Amino acid sequence: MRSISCQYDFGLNRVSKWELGRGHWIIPFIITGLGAVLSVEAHAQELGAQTIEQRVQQAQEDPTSVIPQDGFLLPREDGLILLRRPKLFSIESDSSYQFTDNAFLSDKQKSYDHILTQSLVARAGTQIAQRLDVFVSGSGFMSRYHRNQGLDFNGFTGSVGASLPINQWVMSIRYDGSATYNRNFDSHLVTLHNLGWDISSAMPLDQRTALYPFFSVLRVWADPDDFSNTSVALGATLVHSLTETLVTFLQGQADFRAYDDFFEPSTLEVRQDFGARLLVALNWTPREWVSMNFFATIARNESTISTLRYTNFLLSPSLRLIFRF
Amino acid sequence: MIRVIRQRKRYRKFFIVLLGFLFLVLHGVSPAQSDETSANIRNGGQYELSFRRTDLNVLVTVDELSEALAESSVLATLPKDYTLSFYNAYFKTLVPSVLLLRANTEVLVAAVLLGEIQAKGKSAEPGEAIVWPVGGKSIEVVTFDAEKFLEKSQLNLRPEVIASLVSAVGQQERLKFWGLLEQVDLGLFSPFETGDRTSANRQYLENPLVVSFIRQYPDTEELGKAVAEAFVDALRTGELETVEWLISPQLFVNDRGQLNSSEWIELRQDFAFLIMIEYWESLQNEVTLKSTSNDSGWLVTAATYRYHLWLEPLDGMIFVTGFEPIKE
Repeated sequence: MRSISCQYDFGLNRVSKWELGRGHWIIPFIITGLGAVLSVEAHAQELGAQTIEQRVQQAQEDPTSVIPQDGFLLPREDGLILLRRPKLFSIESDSSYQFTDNAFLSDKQKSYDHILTQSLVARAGTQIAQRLDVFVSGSGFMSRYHRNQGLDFNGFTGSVGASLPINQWVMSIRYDGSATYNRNFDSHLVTLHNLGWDISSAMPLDQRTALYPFFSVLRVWADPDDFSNTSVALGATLVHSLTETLVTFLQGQADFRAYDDFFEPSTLEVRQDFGARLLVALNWTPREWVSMNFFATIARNESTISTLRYTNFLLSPSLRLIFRF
Repeated sequence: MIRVIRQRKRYRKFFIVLLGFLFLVLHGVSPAQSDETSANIRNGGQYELSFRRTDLNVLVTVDELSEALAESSVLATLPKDYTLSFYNAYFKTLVPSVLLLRANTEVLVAAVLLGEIQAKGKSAEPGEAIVWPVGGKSIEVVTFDAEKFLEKSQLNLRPEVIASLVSAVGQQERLKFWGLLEQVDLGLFSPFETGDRTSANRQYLENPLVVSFIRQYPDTEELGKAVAEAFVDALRTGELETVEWLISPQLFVNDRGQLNSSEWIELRQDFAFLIMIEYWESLQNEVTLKSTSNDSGWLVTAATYRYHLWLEPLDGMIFVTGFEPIKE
């Protein structure tokens, strides 16, 4: 999941500064920031009977519903094992409401706000040689602030990525290109080209709990180039399954970000940020096509530029709908 | 001398003829192979029609196919442009084909081992199967793992069938490589063999008569009518087995509501026999059936005799739960 944070810097007389944070997208049910996907999947069901795909899905979700084939119905020559064409494409819709106590991400201009976000993502992915996962996606997103409407933004993102398991680790590489505009699309705010690499692992602690440590590096080329930066992040996510459909997770992350040239003629300083974030979340996925999340984060950012230091508390329920085909 | 030479020539001819005969015996048609040859394969592209039960390894006719499918899979060899119809499902071969046919109370499957078939605008090639779900209105084409089939199948397949499946294996491997096919690790029939199908209810569901009824009459009303007519007709003509299989097993549950597998079948057989000898004679007159509007039953009239027949659904089938004279 991607996180999007915004800053309003009165001191620099900028309308807004937009940064695209990173999330650990390969780990299911982890939300590292703002944004949830709302998508819709229509189930086509034949009148009076399930399709074979639906029956297979049911059998995989509940293996106890399928009795093993025994000699009564199993002719000696049986060898008919199913193969299935996986659903490579999806359309996802994320809707979320967020409460933040620091909309401008600055302790010197602390203001709470309520934010509604909506994004629509079209995604295609496959697994090559039963190891290499690759995907490509495109999305449109928007955010609307209740109290500070000047912070509203819209945008588009295109992404491509791949991940490969290496022993007990998973290595991923990803490119995101995004263009962000103001509310009315009449002002371009920032274009970002992100190239990220991360590595993570799954460490089962018991049958229901696993720890996912991760390390990532992200390079951002931005237009305007004041926002170009390089960052590294280190963290871990603890995931615990309460039931088959209800999962909790706790994530801690520390990151360091160094900007190439963050308005240095004005700030007279090299901007370097050190951040730490703690996130707790609850995810409920009653069906394959719908997922509900609730998360809370608290983040602290220390910057060489005093106005950019902040503590931010965020609460967010969200709904995701996914249509796979 | 000349006589000796002539005799030698005669013997040489004899041995040549003998060798020729031995050659024909060893490499031509033998009695053990005649069955295979008359049934199957390949001479200049012509496939003779044949159906072989895989459990007993015997040939069956096309008229016996439905009954055979209720008990076993059938290996079918079909010529080009042949339309096969059974259990209200039909398909056409586009080329000479070898298929594995299977059926249960929920689905009918035609798995293509060689050739190509088509049904309702959908076609299937080696490694694919056409599935007709009972109660479903449209058929589906599914893919089965050709490699696992070659490993697990105990069918005695001919070389060209094996070659066809090997070719399908190669194609499936390529699709698996690119993630366009994935293994489900379920048998083709597994998703249809749900927990509702226990070993107990299989005893009264998985038999040719019941399977044929369920497959031929997906509509409940039509099924009820067919069962009523078949039951009365079986009583009239003395078909004891039909009477027996159409009587509801629910009449023979014990105090705990369970079927005692060692007793109930015998009880039903005896009960069917008693019913038959009691009502057979009275049903020799012309019989008419009329559905009763107030219950799930039928009014059976045979001359001056009138009976009430009750039906009840059970596990997807409709069985007879009562047959008694109407007292005026």
